[in-house]
Amino acid sequence: MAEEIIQVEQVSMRFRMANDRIVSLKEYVIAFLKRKLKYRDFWVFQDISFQVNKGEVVGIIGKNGAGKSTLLKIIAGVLTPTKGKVTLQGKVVPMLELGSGFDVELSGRENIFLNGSILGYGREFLEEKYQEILEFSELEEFIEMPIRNYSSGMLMRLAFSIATIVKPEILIVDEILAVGDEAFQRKSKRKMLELMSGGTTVLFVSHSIDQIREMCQRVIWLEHGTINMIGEAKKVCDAYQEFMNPAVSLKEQVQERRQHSDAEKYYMDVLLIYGELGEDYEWRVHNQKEQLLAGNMPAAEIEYQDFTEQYMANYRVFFFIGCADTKRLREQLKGLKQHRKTVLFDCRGLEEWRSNTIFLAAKEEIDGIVAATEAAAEEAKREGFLVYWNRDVCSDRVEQLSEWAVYDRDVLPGLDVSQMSGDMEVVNYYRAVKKKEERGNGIGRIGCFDRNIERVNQLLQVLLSDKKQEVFIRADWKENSVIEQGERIRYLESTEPEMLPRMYADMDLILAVIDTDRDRREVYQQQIYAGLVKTPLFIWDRTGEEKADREGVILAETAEEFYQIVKQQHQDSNRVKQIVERMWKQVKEEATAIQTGWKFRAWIQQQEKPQVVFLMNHKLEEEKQQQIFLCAKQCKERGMDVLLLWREKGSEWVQEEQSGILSLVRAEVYIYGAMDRVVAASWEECEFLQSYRNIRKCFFLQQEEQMEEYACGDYNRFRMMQTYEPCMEWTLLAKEPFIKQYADMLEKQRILVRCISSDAKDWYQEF
Amino acid sequence: MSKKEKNRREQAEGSREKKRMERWKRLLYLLISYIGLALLFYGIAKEAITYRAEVQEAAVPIKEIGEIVDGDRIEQKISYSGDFLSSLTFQVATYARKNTGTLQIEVSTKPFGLEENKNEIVIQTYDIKTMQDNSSIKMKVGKKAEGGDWYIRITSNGTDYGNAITFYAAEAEEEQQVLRNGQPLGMALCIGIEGGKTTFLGRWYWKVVLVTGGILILVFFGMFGKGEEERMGDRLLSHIRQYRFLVSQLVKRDFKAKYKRSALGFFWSFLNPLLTMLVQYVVFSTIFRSDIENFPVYLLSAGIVFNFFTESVGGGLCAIVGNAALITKVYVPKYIYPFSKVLSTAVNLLISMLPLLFAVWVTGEEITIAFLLLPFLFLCLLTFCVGMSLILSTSMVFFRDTQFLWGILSLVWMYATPIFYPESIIPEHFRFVLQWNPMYHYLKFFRTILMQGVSPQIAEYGYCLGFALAFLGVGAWIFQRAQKKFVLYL
Repeated sequence: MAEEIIQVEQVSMRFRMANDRIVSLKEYVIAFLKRKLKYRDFWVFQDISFQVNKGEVVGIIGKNGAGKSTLLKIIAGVLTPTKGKVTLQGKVVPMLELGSGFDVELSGRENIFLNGSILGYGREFLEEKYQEILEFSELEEFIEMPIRNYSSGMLMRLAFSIATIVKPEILIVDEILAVGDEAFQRKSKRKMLELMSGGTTVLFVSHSIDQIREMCQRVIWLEHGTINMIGEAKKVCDAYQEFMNPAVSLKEQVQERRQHSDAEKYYMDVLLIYGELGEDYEWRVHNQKEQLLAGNMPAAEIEYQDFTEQYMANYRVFFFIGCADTKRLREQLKGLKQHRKTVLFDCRGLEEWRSNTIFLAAKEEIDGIVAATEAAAEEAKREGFLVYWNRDVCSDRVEQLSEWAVYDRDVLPGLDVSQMSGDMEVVNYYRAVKKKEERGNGIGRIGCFDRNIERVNQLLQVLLSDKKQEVFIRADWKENSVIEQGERIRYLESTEPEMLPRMYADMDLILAVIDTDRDRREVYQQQIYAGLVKTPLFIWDRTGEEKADREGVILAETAEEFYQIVKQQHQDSNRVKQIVERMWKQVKEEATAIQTGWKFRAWIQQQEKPQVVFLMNHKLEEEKQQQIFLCAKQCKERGMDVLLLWREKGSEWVQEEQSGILSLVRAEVYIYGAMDRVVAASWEECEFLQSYRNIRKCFFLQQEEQMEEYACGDYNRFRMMQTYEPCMEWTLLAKEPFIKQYADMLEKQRILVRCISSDAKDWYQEF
Repeated sequence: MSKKEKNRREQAEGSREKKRMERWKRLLYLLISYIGLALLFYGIAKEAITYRAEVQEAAVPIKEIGEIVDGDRIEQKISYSGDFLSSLTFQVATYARKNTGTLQIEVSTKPFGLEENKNEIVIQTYDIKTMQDNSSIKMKVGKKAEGGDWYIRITSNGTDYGNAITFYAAEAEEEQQVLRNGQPLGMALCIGIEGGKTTFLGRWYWKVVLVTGGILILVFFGMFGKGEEERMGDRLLSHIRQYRFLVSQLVKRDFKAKYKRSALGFFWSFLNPLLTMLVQYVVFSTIFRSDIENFPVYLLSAGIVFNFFTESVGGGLCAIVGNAALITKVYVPKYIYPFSKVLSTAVNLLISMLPLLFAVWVTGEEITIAFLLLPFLFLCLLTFCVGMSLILSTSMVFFRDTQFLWGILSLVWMYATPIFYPESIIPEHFRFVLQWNPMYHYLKFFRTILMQGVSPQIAEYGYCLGFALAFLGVGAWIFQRAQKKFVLYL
């Protein structure tokens, strides 16, 4: 009965790989003469056959390099198989990569037609659907603008809207496309699901087994060039997951990411420098680093002997631990002082304080002392130092907590924002955090991430009868769930371990069943503490042996009983407050590291000198570059810590001009640390500002020449930016004509506008 | 139930009927346009169709025949292999002095002295005063005669010894000798003859048209069948219909992107050739002098055509490599990319025709009906460039050196084509270079139409079409064979 719409018959694909790929005649001739023109045959797959019936959703899984994408390309007609045949009954729309046919010079409208025609749509069809595309992409305002002005999110939205406007017979998807901001992601996802359920035959590759499980009827598992298994989705996925072994634990992942072995490659807040004064000190360094991390301050560590001047640009605070007084150290301290960096010294106890002469020898250069004992702190204070007393309280528990804490805070460890692909990720993350703060529509969010969903099922049904609730459930339990699907139930797709803390943090209530299994319980608690959940609620499993009266935990025998309590608490704001407070107390007690960490951070931040980062682009005209330099110099003279962040390596004259201002090349370092004020002068730099969220204040320097010509265009860009990145706080520095023209409009968009004098003399005042 | 089935059958019958009708309509359109084109072509290029040029060069002068004074009758019989005599060229000498009076030349297909038929004779009178020493005079005849002997008579009026001119002559056989008042002088006048010979096509044009029409109908039925099943022709049409929009979009993209950020925009398409010509004209007419008539048009026409060639092939060459992102993602017939690239340059070519026509008009050339032949040339040129692009873009995928080689090759090609020099400076033993240079033929075709206002020789049509089809054929063959491997090398 079923109609076969895709037939793959004994398809084999061979790639012929020359030892080096020969791309020029010269290379070819040389290789030929040397008789080195050898090929190595590589069969991506051999003799693959399968059929897909009309309306089926078929997933393809396999390891990287198993040939999934190659298979899709063959079916899409992009590649021709070496052997075998593929027969298709119908029109194929490949969604392999969106927007590859865009031309940046053309407007959005023109690109709709261009890209549409590449995907094989006709003119009448496109004209008819044009409005629909426009509405779906939400780009009506900008459609006549050249798309080189679009943000990457806008581009993806446009591309997605074009690609999915048609209802193709066969849809080929390489990874589910979630593009744009969260709202649009939901929308695009819905659209994809709509397509998939609407009788379209879908071939689908994804690395997310959960997605495959959820969406596909049948699954093909490719392995070593053959079909390892084909059949019902659940069966194949289970087998595959077993085969692949459970993923590495979250803790390991976190630790892996945090190992910054070469400190010079990062831009961070703090550099810990430790001398060779015994094993004890390494432990101390470790302790301080953990605490800083727990306080949302990434730090790198380095041995004193490796510390050279070139590190000075990469950090704001230099934290010396156990370094003996030497001539070199004193010179280095002088250098740091010159660059207005913050210098802290660690003296563990009284003994060290007294034995190490550096404390008194370089009194001028040291901004603060961290002491481990009260006695040392007292003595240091007497000498006139600023002292912070930080005990040695490093323990496994602290480490664990700090790991979780770091994940839910502003810092993004291991995320490389210098990469383009990372940008969206950072922005998305930022938005998510921000949205959480802004949410205030009175709808309570109930999170339900427990595997034992049946146990809270009954309770959920009761909760949902109250209209002001939304329930979030992990998508992979959709099938198991007995709950009728209602509007207020949301399924969260991404259950990557890294996302969990954030998911927890986003909830007002968390429903969890605590097992008798001790380890699992620990994990839950950690997650919840780390997420600083407002009202975590636990249901104890009835079988649980302990029924101890713990603070912040509600014990209920039945779901009904529990609901009564919940409802009561929810209505009674005082009660909620109490619970929150109680929870906080618990968090504070258990997570001393976070506590001290935040305090420690606050103290260090007090010592920091105001810092200004100027984003430089060597493509800028020399005159503009010089203006920026002038500005930077003035800031430095005013006692600020000034950093030039270059887009790429280049520009010779700067080397001479630098005159003591530190500079970094963005493409060469990973940037983690927070920055006080960042000044951009060209639009390319603004993208960086957008992508990198750990900036306290952003400035855009509107320069003279730009104003007359491009004022209008710039205004549009600002508008665009504010529409799509609503959380940035911008200050625009510009001269008067521009301000007069656009001030009102810009103020409306929450962009601060400051007037600057024409000769750039007082610009620094704004920073 | 049966009613439904009946209905369906009727519908199917109806749609089949509709299809059949459409097919006949298509055939009708084809035939009408074919006949229309055949008629139009005959109207424009009648002369070129009927005659093949036949030029007899004048012999090298040895002697003059003495002063021609009043009462002298110079007669000569010439035999000419062509059927149509368009002009004669005589070599005159004035004895390096100013003479007065008139000279009368008569040309006839019959010997003089017999019963004279005025219709058979062409008479032309020249003012001797205007003649210069050792110059030539060209006489237009424009007469037809089968297998022709021609008779020439020269008389003068108002001249005397010491105030007359003479003609140059060379040695000749007895029968061809010039007679002065009936007396053979032992030599023959140096006469250059231009004319044509009736060609096969000229004689059988309408029959050839008829036969070709018949073949066309047969091909039509071969491609489309009588109506039921899908044939090659249907597939071809639907293929074109499917990708027409894509090509138009790609062309539009190229065109828009090219001038997007320039202030004058597509006016550069006018300005560029015009300014280039101006510069070249100034350079070549002042520094390297050449005596080509109407040099501006000579230069501009070549500039436009050759520029189109290099630009379109240069663009087409990178079309596959440049669209790698698309080719590896979406299936589109790959030839579309080089094809659309050439097409978008062709739009430029058409635009730059305007300044060219303007130059033609300004320099006083006539714009004749022969200009209607230009679309044929452009089609051939386009086909040729597409062929070249297919070859080179294929080669580019496998060897990226191609683009640099092409830079050199196009330079050599430019010098091997008479763009700013007259073709006569190429020595005889290098003529084959021109003969085998397609661009030479396209240029020649173009210039004949622009500067002489007549249709080129039939053979030139053959060259233009032949080169175009040959290159397209080779290009398509190579491209077809290699395109499967493209994805692996991009």
